[in-house]
Amino acid sequence: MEAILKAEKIEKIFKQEKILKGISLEIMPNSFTVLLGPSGSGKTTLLNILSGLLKPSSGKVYYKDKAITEFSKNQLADWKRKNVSNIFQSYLLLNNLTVRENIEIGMFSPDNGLPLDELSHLLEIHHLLDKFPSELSGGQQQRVAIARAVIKKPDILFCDEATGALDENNSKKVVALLHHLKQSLGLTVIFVTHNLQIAETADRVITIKDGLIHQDKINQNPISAYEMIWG
Amino acid sequence: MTKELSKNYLSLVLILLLVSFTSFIYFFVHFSVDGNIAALQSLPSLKENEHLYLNALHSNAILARNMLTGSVILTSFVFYIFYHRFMKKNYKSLACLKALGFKDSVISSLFWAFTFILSVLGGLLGLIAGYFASDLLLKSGMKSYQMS
Repeated sequence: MEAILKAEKIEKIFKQEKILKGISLEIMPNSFTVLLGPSGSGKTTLLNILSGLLKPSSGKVYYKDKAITEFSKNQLADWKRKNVSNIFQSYLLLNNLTVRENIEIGMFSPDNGLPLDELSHLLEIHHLLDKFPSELSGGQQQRVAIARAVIKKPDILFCDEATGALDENNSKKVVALLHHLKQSLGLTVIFVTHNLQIAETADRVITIKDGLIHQDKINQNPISAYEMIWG
Repeated sequence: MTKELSKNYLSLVLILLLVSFTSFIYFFVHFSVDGNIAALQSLPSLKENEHLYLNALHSNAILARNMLTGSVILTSFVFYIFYHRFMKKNYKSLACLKALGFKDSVISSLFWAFTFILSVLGGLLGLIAGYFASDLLLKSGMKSYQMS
């Protein structure tokens, strides 16, 4: 099987400090990969480069056969709009839009997206569609962010500490949902976290340390999200 | 984003007033001064009071144009400050739109459209005010210089 995303010798320098020191990796389609590592290890920087939010100082990122690092600003925007989605720790919902509008803004084309009713029932936010983000709990806001991210059926879903602001129950719910969406929609999920328990649920765990891949492990027996033991 | 922009009532009223004032000065000069200067200059010879009136119109025009320049600079500066503060305050929403794949041109077109609407609205208010104010000034000027 061909990799859906490939990084070649990625380096990133911020203020003369090398954050990433030549990372190469391949991500297979329909996989759940966790990028694990302590704060400051470079995992979020790597995720942002893989998702096209940041340009690397050197090295290339390929989506299928296309080098996205060579794309123009407009090509990159088109690629992001059509093929990938991001979920952030702080949800990043638009406060003046209702839940429904926040989800619909993530849709690339009204003809290609998932039906909003079906998706909102799956994520248990169907009763919140006319509310505003400020009226929702953290867990509800993150589920809205997930709905916005997956409504266009992206190929790859990039999650940056997506459970970082949530309590145990909501975190488990979100991780379980992401696994379910991966299965049902054929998504490829790349999940940045420092939480070892979330890593236990993944198909593959890449540990980043000091800007390099420290360990790359296939998880033979992933646990389910509800088996996670929150420390 | 448009909803976020329109929530800044106080700044919007200030910008609208400034745009209206700028437009008012332009149309005021256009309606009262420029037309009359042209009319007086087209006459073969001027009486003394007409000559004095022409001089007064010239100095009015210079004053108004200086005010217009100042007003345009001030309005542009206030627009700049407004958008700068807005972007600083809403950088997360803007970053979110970019992460969703919205092109820079799409995002900036919202700001251009907003600027256009404010300018047209303020411009129209200034035009109406300038038209009526020019009439009043013309009448009083003609009276002062005993023009018919």
